Amino acid sequence: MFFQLLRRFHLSFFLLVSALANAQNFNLSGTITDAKNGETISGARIISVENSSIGSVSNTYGFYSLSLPAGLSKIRIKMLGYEEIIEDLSISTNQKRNFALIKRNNQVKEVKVNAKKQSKNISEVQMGKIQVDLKEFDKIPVILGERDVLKSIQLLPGVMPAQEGTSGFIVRGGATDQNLILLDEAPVYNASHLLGFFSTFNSDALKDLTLYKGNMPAEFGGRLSSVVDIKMKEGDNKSFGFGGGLGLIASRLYVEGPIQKDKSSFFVSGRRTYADAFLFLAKDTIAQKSTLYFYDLNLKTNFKLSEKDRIYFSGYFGQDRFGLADAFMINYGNTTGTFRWNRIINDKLFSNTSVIYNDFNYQVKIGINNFDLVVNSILNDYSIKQDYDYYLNSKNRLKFGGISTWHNNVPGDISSSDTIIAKNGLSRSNGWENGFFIQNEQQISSKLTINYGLRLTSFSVAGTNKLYSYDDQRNTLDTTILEALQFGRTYINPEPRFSINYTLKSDASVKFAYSRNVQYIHQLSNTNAGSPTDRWMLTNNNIRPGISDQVSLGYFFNFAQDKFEASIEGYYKVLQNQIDYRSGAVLRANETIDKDLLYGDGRAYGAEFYIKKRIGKLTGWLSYTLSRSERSFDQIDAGSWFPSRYDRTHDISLVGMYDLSNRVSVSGTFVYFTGNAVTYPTGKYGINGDLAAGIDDPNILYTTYSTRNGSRFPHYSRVDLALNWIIAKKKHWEHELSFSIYNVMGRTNAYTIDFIYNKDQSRTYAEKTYLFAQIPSITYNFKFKHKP
Amino acid sequence: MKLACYVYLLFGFVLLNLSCKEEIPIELAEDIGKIVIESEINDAGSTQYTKISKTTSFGNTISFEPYDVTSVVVSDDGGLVDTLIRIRPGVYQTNRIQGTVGRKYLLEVNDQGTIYQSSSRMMPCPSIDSSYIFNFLNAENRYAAIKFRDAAGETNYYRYFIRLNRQPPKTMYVFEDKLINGAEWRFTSRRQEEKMKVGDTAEFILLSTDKANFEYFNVLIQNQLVTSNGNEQVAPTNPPSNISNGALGYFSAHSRRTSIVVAER
Repeated sequence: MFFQLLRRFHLSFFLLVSALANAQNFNLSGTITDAKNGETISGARIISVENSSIGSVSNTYGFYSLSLPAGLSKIRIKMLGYEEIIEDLSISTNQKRNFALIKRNNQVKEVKVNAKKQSKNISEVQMGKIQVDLKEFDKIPVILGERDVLKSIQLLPGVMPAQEGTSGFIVRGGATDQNLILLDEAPVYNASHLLGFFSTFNSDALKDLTLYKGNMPAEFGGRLSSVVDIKMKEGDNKSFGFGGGLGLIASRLYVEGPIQKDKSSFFVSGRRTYADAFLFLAKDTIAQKSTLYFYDLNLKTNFKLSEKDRIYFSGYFGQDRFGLADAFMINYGNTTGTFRWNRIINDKLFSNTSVIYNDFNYQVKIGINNFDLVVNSILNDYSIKQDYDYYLNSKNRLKFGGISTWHNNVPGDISSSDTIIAKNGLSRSNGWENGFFIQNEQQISSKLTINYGLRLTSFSVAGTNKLYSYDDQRNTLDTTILEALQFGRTYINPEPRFSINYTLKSDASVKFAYSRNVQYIHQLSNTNAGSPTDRWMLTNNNIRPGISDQVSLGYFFNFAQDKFEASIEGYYKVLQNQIDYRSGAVLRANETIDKDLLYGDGRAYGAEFYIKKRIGKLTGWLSYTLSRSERSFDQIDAGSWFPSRYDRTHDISLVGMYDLSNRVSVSGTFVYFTGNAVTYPTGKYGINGDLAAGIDDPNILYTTYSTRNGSRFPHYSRVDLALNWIIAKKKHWEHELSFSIYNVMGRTNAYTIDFIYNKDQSRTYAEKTYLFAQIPSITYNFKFKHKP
Repeated sequence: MKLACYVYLLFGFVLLNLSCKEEIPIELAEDIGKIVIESEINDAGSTQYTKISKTTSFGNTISFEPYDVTSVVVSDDGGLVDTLIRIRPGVYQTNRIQGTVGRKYLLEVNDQGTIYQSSSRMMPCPSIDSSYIFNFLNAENRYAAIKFRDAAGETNYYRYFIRLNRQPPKTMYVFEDKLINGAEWRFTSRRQEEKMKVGDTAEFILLSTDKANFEYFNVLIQNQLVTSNGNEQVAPTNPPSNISNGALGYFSAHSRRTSIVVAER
């Protein structure tokens, strides 16, 4: 029924589109795929050689459409990491042409330089967007040999680690919960394993990663700072293969292949850690009986139903399990599932329908003596999304659609044989979020391109829900209960987006962008590390949607015959309805937490400098960000602006990769950033606390504190090195070894700084805790490909 | 973050060089010499004390820098007015006030014309039904605990701590009865330094305080636990004192109950 309705809608749209069709030109449309495995390629550019203003870009599913004048035409198809194709076509009618691109062997080979062609970084109108070459990321040194895209993106300009060793990251001075991480369109709420040390993304399973630093196109929304759009591999639809790796802490395995050649394929990959295998070595009996591992599983399959229809199923399942004998246990993980139906409605109009499920859940179990407690928490979303890509003509490309999401938040259901404790679960909440968007990318002249759009979002507070209102003294005034499917307040926000590209010459352009983003879901966290038990809150009667407005201006240029690309970008961002906490607020197990929240403003601004050498034996980049991120709350230091936890004045990343031969490459990274803004002691005093019993007792010492975040941690810096050695590369078989050393210089970067009173309280001093000195690691990777 | 500690501990078997500590020099922006007033009225006897000091440098070896003021006056809503007597530098005493539940007390400290004021109402404290030893995980981990019945009705705020072998408390705890209102409940000491050996004696002290004192100690105790700074913690702040004019410290009228338990084999 649903499908019939959609088809009917498509049909009526088709009639409209046909009426608008341009008579003089003909359409060239089709799909762009990888020649080797048949996977679709997004972001490939199709350009007319004779007239560079005629061009198109393949969408997320590889579809493109291009309007060409009748007659002979020469077109070029380009994609990062692939050999370029140039084809002569005779255009006399609307044509369908699919192109298969061949992967470039490696970066060693110099690409023929053509002065006329324009690079994507120059011509693309979108600002603050980085489409990552994951193959390049594979060479970057990593901690413990586990490739991790969320850590690698922290080397890009404007992206900084939230703290050492974690996959949590900060984009342009925004909080870690202000990043929307999408895996095949499904949001991943907690993209971390092992309390943040590894991300949930197994690199084997990933095809593509695009990062938007705030100026996202209208099709994305829901977070203030960034979107990380990750796509999973679809699986080789030509031949079977498998591969994997053995690392210090985890091993991986994947299998892929066609179900029906050229028509359907599957990809399955898994990963599990084995640190727990060594627990028996522990002397402590509690440790011996402990649990400690994580695993994840990625699945994807696709079927070409016809030349016009293709469906995809993808899923992710991951879990972390930590347990201390029977006394304490915490499990947490994410599940995502996406069903997608692509339909090429006609040579200009492409439709995608997605049905998405995602959840993040955790469970804490405590069983000590006669005391038992189980806390269950789940945050899940059900979404349906419909979007259209309409290649109107050679000057205009429209995208429009909508998404509707039902949020279900169970912050903490408690069960216990203790009846008092059992009563203290947290109330559930629900919300209904909707977004409609339309955007057009319009080429005004050969030099000027603009992208403008509007995203209209709404959020309705929905039942089941329990809403509180408070007086000035934070006493509960009133409690409202919403039953299932009852609605409370609805927030509606228009989010305009605009960007403009003015090409100065073939290798330089200036871009400007403005965008507003609105966020309806917030994470309450008092750490940068991010704990799986940090509570997510939906917007309600007290918590308002967060709003950000960002303007950015950039100059993009290439030089030395496109061997180098470079950019300078400046941004200014204003944030509303940011959250902080009253002093003494308890974030966990607090039913009326919203009375302990403070709401304030934020501002963040900075300049990002980026230079990248992309061709040759030596490749890599240098990025430098100079920035500031501040917050202001009426209740903190009388509303004065203070540096936020995400404030880093300087942030430098240097990445270099050098191919010694076809088999051996070395790489290194250097990172430096300003220490976190923190609140240090300004003095100390003693409090007895029980004068009735001991007026002469020594006091317990306490410290006085500076204004919020008035001091700085020491700066952070680190050098990592890696060596990749392809042991053998045969027709069917390839295997390699990767060696890496994390923190080669052994710099003991401060993780925390404690102010300690020694036992007899006669002396106080500062003590630094650091996590990692040098960490060497070795990883073995292998690949097998059946080639008939 | 206890949880993280366990994980690091477990993970540490594989990563031998993970997580180390070292003392470092740090330059602090000092702001010292602020007045600290600690003043209590309790129902346990008729001797009441007030202690006054100044904040000192973080690296200083002294834990109490006494400070003498012009006068310390306590009054109540029953018409009593009493000027406390200085018995030692920074220590003031009276033998004339027996704290009474329900009565509101006022404090006025005059420091050469600068006046610091506060008030606090004495709340009732339930009696302790029993004290006992709580075993955490196994019989070797002994901690002092008490049972009592919370008074139903309005919100009660508790502060409690133990004196282990007559030594002063190392730490304190606060509790708001919102979640257990009117129920029988237990409090346990639970920090490593409060673990008891066979033969140890613990005196469990339970205070019933007003809301302002609960909020003050709630933040104060968090600051003590959160001596560290940076990645793991919420930014610490000076606790909200119920004394006017920017003084640090507190004025608390509270009722006080105690119970003694001995750790036996």
